[in-house]
Amino acid sequence: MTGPLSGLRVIDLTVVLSGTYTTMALADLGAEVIRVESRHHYPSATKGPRRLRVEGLERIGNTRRGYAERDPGDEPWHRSAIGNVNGRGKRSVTMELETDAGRSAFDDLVRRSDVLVENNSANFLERRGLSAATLFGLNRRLVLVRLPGGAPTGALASIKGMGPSFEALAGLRDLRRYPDVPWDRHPETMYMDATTGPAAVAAVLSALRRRRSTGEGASIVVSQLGVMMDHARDAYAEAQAPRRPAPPRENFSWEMAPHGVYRCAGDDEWLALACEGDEAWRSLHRILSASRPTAEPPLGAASTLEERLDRWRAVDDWVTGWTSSRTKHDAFHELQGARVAAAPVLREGELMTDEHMNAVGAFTDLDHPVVGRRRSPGPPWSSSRWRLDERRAAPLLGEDNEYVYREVLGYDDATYRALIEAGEAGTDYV
Amino acid sequence: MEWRAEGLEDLAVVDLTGDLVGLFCAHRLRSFGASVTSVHRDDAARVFGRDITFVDETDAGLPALVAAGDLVVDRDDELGLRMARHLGERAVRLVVTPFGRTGPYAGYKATDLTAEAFAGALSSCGLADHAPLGVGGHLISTYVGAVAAAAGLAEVLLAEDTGSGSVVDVSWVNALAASMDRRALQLVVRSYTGWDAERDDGRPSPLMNGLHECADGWVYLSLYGWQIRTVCELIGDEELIPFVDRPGLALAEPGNKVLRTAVDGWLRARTRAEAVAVAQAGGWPVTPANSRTEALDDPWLRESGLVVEDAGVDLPASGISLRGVGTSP
Repeated sequence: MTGPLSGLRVIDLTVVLSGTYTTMALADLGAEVIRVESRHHYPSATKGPRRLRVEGLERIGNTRRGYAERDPGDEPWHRSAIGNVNGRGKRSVTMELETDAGRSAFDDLVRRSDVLVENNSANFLERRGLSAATLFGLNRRLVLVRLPGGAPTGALASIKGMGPSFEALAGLRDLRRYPDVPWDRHPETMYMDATTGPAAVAAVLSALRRRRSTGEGASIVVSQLGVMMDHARDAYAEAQAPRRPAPPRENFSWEMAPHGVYRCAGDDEWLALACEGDEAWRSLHRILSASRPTAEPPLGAASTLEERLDRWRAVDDWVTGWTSSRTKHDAFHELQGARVAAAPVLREGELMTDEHMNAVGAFTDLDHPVVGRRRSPGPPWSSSRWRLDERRAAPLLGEDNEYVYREVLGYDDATYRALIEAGEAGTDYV
Repeated sequence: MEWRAEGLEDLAVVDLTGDLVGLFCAHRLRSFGASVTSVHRDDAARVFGRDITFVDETDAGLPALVAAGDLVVDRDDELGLRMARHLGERAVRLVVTPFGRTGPYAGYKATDLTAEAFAGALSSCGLADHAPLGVGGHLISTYVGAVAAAAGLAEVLLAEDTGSGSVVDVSWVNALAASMDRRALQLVVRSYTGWDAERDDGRPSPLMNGLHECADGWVYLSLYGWQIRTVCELIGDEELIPFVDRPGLALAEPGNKVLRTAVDGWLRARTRAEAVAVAQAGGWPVTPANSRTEALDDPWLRESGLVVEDAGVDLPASGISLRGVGTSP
């Protein structure tokens, strides 16, 4: 059986990570997602630098230097992890929104589509004469999804920034601190990019469900900043009425003790441990006390959370004495066997070869025409009723031009040839 | 603006999980208008529970609520399995568990921190000379809850199409491995290059991305290579003139030190508000860096309706607007 969105068509005008992830998730649910790309405006934030030498890779951060075999090649946009990561299951057509021919084709595509998703700079569509009113004039059943970083109106409408900029604005950086490290040396995350996709997908699904009864589309705005903040409502409530002082060390919790990341045997090997309650503490106490050589426990098996919090340093030392003499995997299985929440801190290579993750099909191997067969994380859900048997790797630029212009839009051969000759349809950047 | 969404007004959701993952899933579906009942009991119900009906898991009426539910969320525990017997034919059972219901680690336990360790980006988050640093708060639970809401809703559409329900599984670790908080990208980088991501060694990045101090507080500064010319022109320091035509010089020493000194000096000579206003007007992404309490008072967030009073405290709005055609956002 095909997915819940089978038979629906999505126009993908997204860039960078949060928007491209959203449309990939719609493809994972069975929708036909068509990435509309320009041959004239190279999207470097989405696909990495247009030109790059091998020796330049060392100057680029972890997430942006991922070129297959560490070689950008002549067409780096087809070899970059960041350019391909969210391309799974999509098609690509080249179409210029600023030319008469391209705009006419785009209008035709809007008429034949169900959803349009974009997360470009403010007024990206309006500047191209594609206001919501214009789009709904072309297709009243269209679900129009916009994902501004800030908000659609007011000062936040024109604010420029990336995920970490908005995370700083939202005040979420102070959720994770090393007490001994200055604020400006703390790491950043891309949590905002992560939260946008699921919110936008839920919004699209709600709008499609609504369309079944009303017969009309919808206008959706997902504020990436707002959604990220919504995920942390409890942290904002806590900040207004703090019940506890600032955590005395990193990864500390006032709700569980012990709770942290503990060094294991080996170089830079760690175990995360979270003792969720008194029962887990008794199990942990039994395991650590039975091991030799281990220091005397600082507290008894019947100690309370408050007692463990009061003596957190001694408890931590005791736990570290045990973990540091074991591998993180041995510690993981022994503690989980006693119903104590623990997990090894896994690097990417370890996770990708993990027995459990492979047994549950957490990864998908995709054949890409340029970079070959590569493994990537698959959809995070599985249904008892359906699965997509075939998933395409990220498309090459313009790979589906013929399909889109001829089959989707129904253009005859002469019209399609004219679009190629005019430079609208092509497979390279100009 | 008012953040209001619709679409699920006649959808009945029952959350049997008792955990924050299920509660956030319920909260998200409620934000689109679903009728939600939850067995959640702790403090989180206060901040995530607006317009959700809470019942005790021993409530005699719970089987009837489940029988009438379109989407029932559980964690495959004793309550979930017992209530699954009452599910209607068209109902979707959404099962959210730490490691999934199958595989060698099925039944293993997880919390935010341990799940992030196993499948999230923890290994590369933090400083190399410190322990890995978790993302903090309960952001892993709420993220998994958001994924679950999307997965469950997709299945509801299918059930309504076909007239029969299904079971959909979401595991915390699968959700985190596929998450765009770096992990999915890092996994693909690994498969392309063999590189594992590393924690920060503390050396400043040539592009200076990060927090910087102003006269009265902090800002977050983003910079791409192609913006160097703009930034140099905007700061107007004579020493930066060579970089206007040759921006690459600013990314290698000694040019990078010149750029860093000039940018830091420019920021320290201005208040946060001044620096942000001038930089943003020039197309340079500089934003205020707030604490959580500062964020709740931030005029931009207030003006946009992203912070609202709820249950006697200031809380974020949903950030999602869904309106019919012809209605302005």
